[in-house]
Amino acid sequence: MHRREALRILTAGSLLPAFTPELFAFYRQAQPAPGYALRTLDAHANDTVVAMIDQIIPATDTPGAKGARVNEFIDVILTEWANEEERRNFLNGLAGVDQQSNALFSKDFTAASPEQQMTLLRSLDETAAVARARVADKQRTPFWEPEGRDRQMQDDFFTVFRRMTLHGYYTSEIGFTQELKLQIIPGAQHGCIKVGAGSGDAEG
Amino acid sequence: MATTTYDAIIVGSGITGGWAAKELTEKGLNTLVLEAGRTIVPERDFVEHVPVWELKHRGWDNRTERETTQPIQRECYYACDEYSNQFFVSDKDNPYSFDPGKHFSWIRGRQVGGKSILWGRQSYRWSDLDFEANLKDGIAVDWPIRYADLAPWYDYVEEFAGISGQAEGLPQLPDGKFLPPMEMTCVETDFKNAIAKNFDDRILTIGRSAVLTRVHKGRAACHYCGVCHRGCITNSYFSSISSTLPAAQKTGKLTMRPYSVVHSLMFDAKSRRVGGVRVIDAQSKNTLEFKARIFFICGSTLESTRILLNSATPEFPDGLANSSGELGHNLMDHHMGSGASGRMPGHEDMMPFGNRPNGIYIPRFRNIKTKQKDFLRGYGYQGGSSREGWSRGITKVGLGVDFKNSLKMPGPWRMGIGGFGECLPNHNNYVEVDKEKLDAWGIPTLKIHCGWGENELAMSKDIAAQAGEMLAAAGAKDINTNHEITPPGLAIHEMGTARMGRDPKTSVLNEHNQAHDAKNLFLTDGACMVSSSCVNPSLTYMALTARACDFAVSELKKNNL
Repeated sequence: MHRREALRILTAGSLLPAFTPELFAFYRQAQPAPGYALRTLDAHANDTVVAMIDQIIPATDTPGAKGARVNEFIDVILTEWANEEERRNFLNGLAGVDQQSNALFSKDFTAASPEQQMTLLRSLDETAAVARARVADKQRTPFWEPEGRDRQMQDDFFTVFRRMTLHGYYTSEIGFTQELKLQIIPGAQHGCIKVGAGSGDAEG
Repeated sequence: MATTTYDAIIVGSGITGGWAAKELTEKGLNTLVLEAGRTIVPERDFVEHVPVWELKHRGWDNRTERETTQPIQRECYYACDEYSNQFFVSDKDNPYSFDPGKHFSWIRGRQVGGKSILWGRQSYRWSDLDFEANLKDGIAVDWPIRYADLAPWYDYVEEFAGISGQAEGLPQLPDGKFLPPMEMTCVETDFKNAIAKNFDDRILTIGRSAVLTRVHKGRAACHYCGVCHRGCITNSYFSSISSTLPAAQKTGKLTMRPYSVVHSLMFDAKSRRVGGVRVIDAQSKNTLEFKARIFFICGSTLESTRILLNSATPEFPDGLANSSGELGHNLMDHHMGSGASGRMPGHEDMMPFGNRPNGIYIPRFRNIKTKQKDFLRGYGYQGGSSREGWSRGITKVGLGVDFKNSLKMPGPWRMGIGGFGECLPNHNNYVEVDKEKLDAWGIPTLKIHCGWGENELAMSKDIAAQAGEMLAAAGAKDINTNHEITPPGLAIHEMGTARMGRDPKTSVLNEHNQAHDAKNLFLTDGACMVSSSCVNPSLTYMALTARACDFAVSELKKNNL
């Protein structure tokens, strides 16, 4: 369907616009460009990222973070969004995962068994929770000051990694439409309905 | 230098410019609308249905570039985002200044439709509690009008715009001509009941919103995509583009001229009238002049005042129509920031459906029947409830299959409310032009001197405390009470600087929004406001504009202009 035709259907001011499957398909047709070439993560760093995101959000009855190519989102953010310090902290943190893996299992993270990887990630996860609790007590700069904005990469490494993984996954087409079953155009509003997939808040 | 004569010239095409265009053209006037910004083509520019995965930074925005071009506009973080920054001005091209330590957030939209394509759409009537406030408190000057003067015009604009809401019969928040209300969540209904039970001076109602809950005047009902500030291809929310400008276009009397940055007005001292307007073409930077019989300045509060300040003459050295000396003074905005939120136990098996572009409202209850010791006037709360989404997982311990499955389902209910407080008019909150600092079109910019007073600061404290108490009474857990105050400007309800009044010695405009000093000059946007109420002002701007247009055309017919 052409964009103009889709808009014509939506703007027909008669009854509630008819949201045909074809119309929904129109809004979903844009796919992330295949064949994205990594710009910041080298091959080994990318393999580490892929192994980590695959453990954090694995494939279940829907694809996981690996299937949603969250590593490519992370590379985009590291390349275009992060400042020098944030990029360095992230890459150092990633190298730190390998160091801990070597200390514990005498091999890089990617070479460790899935169980070993999970053991290490759970340890990182608990350490990060402690770090977050410490920061939570501090007064944050308000959002109307530049220092109060764009703080997504200002936490400890693993919290930043979790945030990028979750954000990358649930804002991907797979995460949004297959996992959360969200609709861009619900077509109606109800105060409350019985809990089920597909009616959550798109903003997370 | 091109010169064309129209019956009417309107500066600006936002909420008030759009209304003026509709009213004046429908009354037969050959009307030119001068808009500083670009044309908006909804099919090209509206992005409300673009999936987030099509955005390069998935909503995190192009931070590096935008901190250079829009560091002020970005303070409006909930709307000036990766989708909608295109509807906010470039701070680089549109500079202004303020005093050290007295930040003023000037959020602007320059395009056909102005900020009407971005606004929050909350639409409330003012009452005599507001119109009589200055007189009763002995502050500033009295409003030259009362609710009875404006009530028929509220009816008129509501019937056209389409406002959804629930009638409540409150004297301080008069009911309007409502379309069916949107639904409250079960948690909001519980909260409403808890407030009614525990506080005999306050109620909770669904927000009154300029979003259509059914088909209205050829515009489709809302489909609840929920992100109105990215545009609305179905015209389901009120904006100039969806409503007033198409009506004006239909008359065949409208000439819309985008890319027309108004420099100043030309006053003819002999006839005591504005004769023309000086415009810089934003693309060619050529200077043009346009002439008309009447002028409606609807450029937004501070832009309209800036035009008058930049139109000084030997007779009016401090700005056109400024014999009172009040032009530029009494700048107001609502103060926000204080409020509370908490987790609401129960209703685990229920969740909202649809992205409701609206919230709940707790109308003003302070200084109505009783009197507060430490502040005058009052505040209202806006807020809502939702269940936590996937982002709760960011700060939760957990990984793997179970973690992923837990995030598939909604998290705990949360309820939050934030106050909008009235700001007292204060002569010392003012703007002036800075002839040394020019914008991208060579026009002198504004120096803004504005800060909160004792009354606002005391009220802000009460807003936080009462919000916490109400949530506690409703059984909220982990209540987070937030006591802070945003900089003036950030509520984007800036008002005053060319106030109405009865006395030409103390006001700029009369009871018909007509300049005391120039009979064919009208200002109908927020600049005209005499006090700020605590409710959102846009609906009142609409009613004032329609009323002023009616007066102007009848005067024109009587040859009084």
